[in-house]
Amino acid sequence: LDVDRNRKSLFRRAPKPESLVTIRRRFTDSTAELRYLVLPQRPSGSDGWSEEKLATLVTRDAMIGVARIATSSQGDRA
Amino acid sequence: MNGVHDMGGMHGMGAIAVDKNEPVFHAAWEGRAYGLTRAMGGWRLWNLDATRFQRELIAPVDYFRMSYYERWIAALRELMLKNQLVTRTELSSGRPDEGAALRTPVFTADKVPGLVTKGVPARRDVAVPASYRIRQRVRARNINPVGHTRLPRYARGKVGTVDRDHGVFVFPDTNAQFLGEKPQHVYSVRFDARELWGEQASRRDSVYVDIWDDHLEPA
Repeated sequence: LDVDRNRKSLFRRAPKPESLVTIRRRFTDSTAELRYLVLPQRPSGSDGWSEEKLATLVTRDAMIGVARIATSSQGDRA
Repeated sequence: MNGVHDMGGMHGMGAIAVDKNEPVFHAAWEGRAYGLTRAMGGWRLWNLDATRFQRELIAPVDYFRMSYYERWIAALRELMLKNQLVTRTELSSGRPDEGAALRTPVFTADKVPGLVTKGVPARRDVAVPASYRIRQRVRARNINPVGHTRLPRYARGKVGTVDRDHGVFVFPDTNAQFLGEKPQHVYSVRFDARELWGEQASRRDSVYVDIWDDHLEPA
């Protein structure tokens, strides 16, 4: 999912129901000596969580940008 | 080279096997393959790009049969043979040949933590002019070199837009052949998915490829 600062517009709009959100997929082919990590979007329901507690939510798939993270009460919405 | 290692866009390879909670090494020998490769690299008789090219030279039928670290070991054997660090008889006997010279490695155990955590940077702190600017339309050159190149086949001849300039890096195409580092800018170039894959692809999708200055031309 798009986390590039220059392309925030996608998420700046008013929230839409999940089914109506337009998904643009960005594929990054790491053909040089640069490697990429995706900063996962903070899940709702995690307000006031400590850094340590937030860190427990982060998954490999979230950091390569192919899954969202969720608080355990939301279940896995990947 | 146009080898089987350059698999972008190929069909028929089956589903990707997702290894849940994938370990760094699946078996102890994989860690040894990694360690041996890094330690032998310490002789500085070859470089990262030459190592990658040696793996690309593995015959296709063997390449597909081998696991990732089996390719590392196969390439390391060839590099060590070429550079007279080992002989064929030593590889089969597992012992030094009679009268083999004793060599003291320059890469020692105390250097391991630094190498593993910091790696060997390919970025170069030299002032090299950038041939392209952000948002410029560029075409990936249609090149088909028999040597090493990092320009994937699926991008060749395709038109994209420079999205960002990563700075100056070693050029693998010359470095792999020991023809010099030729430091130059590397850009992230954005291609519409349809430019690469035609109408089957979504109009909304795009592919970002890291491309060296020498692999681009103005479009």
